[in-house]
Amino acid sequence: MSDESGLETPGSVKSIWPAVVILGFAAAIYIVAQGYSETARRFPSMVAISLMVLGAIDLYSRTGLPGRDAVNAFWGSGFDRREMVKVPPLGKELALFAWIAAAFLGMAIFGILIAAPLFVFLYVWRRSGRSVVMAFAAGFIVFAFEYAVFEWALDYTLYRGLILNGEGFSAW
Amino acid sequence: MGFEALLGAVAEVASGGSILFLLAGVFLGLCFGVIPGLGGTTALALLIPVTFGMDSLDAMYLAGGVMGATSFGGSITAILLNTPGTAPNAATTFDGYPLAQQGKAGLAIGAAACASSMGGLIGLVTLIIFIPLAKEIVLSFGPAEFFLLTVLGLAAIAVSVRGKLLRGLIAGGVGLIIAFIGADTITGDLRFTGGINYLWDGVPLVPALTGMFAISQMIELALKGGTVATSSGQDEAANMKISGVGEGVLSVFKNWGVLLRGSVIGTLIGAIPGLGGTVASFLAYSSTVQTDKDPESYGKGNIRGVIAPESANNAKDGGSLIPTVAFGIPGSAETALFLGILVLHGIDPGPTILLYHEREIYGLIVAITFAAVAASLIGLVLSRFLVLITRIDVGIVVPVVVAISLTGVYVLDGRMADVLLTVIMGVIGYLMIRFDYPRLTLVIALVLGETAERSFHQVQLISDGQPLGFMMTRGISVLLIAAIIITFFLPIARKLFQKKSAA
Repeated sequence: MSDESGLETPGSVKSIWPAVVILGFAAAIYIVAQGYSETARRFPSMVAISLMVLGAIDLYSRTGLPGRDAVNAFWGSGFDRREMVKVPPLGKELALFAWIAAAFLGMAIFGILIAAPLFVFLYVWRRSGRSVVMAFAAGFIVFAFEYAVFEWALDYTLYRGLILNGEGFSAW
Repeated sequence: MGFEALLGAVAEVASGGSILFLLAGVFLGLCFGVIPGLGGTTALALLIPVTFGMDSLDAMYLAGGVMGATSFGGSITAILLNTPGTAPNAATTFDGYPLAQQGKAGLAIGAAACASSMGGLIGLVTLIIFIPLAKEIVLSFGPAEFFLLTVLGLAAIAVSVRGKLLRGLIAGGVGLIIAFIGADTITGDLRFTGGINYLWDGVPLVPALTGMFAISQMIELALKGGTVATSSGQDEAANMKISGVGEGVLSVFKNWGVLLRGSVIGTLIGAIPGLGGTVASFLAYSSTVQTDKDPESYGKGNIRGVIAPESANNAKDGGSLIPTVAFGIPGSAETALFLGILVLHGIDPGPTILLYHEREIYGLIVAITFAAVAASLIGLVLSRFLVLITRIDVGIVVPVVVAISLTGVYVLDGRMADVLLTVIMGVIGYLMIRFDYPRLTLVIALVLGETAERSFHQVQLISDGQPLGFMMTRGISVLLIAAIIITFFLPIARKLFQKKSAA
């Protein structure tokens, strides 16, 4: 199976696992919803059941079982118009998630005004491989922007972090 | 009332104070439009927190400036570098870049600027004409119609995300479930909160939108890597002679039929939730080629091939605001983010938006109208400099946008949990891009979820548990049910028709 660009659809994209996750998620929502009052559970239950049906069709369309092509044609469940044509290696993806998680953790611990420019500096220097001067300039621009717009113009105190805030998780 | 609100918005811009916000938005929109991969959605996601503390109308001017300017920003690089700034500008490269290579860059940019402005104006005039009618329609709606309208909105978007009906519907279902998190609007019962106090009020819209569009887009961009355009291309563009702009502007009026057709196509396509500018500009381009006496001249530098997609691309802004302002159904990612700005300013983005917030709506319309013209004028003057923005590489753009987005989200309510939610939604958004599930349907379901559920319960109550029977007794409901059925079966009918024609 290939997309409009002629590239083969990666196995991870067309595998059954995304559909299985959707099915599991919908089933979990349905089960949890049964613990609510009749009115509160009615609409979520309806949506969860519909999602299970759609998830099952998605799962079927990803198998090699007979009628799969007809299902794909009817439901438009093929992969010929993918937004992300090339799928990067898992390691690269996880590393990037880790960078963004680190940005969040830095902001939570050291505060936004310190961690945001520091994140930009480290990212540009270490991940993007640019010069220290360029990385410093990028970090400084972010600091100047955040200070000028939020702290000065909007008169807003940005989060100072768990260490400097002294109020623990109260600002969460 | 509508006319007064329109005049009020014009007067506010003319008075001078708000024009600075408008121009700032235009400049930002041009810059973000020029850089492929960023575009209007990222610009608006970044802008949401900046509008914090602003008057709601000033926020509309800022957002309107961005929305009106991004498309023309993208066409500058499409013409000079053969690199479309936004997806809809891809159609402009077909004839814009060959013209630039023939030394007629000024002609192409002039035509693109004028066609963008004129297309934008035609789209917005259509919107202004439609608003009073839409108001009457909304006033005649009851809970049954509101419920069916949300279903129709979701169905239309899922169907129009080409080739992704099934996964579009799944994403919509997931979006509805996310919308259920928090206290139930009818009973007040807490649902799906997992014991987390932060979720009692539900998933806040702005962090969810910022994560879904800004963060996930940055993750994708970072993984793609590289620079936006080659330095040789930029050098070529920097040395390119940009003359004949006036001739380009005049060519639009000489080809008024192409302009009008492009604008009508753009407005109509824009009004259908989910279709967006790419479909509009390509459809306008192909219809112009097909109806021209000399179709062979296209792709080699025919000025009509620039006018058609540019007018359609800008006209779609007015069209996409029709479902947004009339029924609260965001027709595109940009209008969904615009609703996020409204939420920040205490405005409920439901179907009654037009009834209670005319000031803001007309403010936005005036802003986009001014922006469509201002962006073309500023873009013409700064086109050579704007091209240089593409020299900024992805390795710098990504961390800057991530840092500012996360900071901005904190500013909204002063809660770090919002920042965490943005990161989580960003990862979910990226996974959706990776596994080919459209994000737009999830976001729109998230926006419409509460209205859908509340209306559903109201219909249940007033119909004594017989909602379908009740709906069938109401004329507008029957029309909406028919529209939903047609929406679902239209792609199938089209396929059957194509098969029959091929046979």
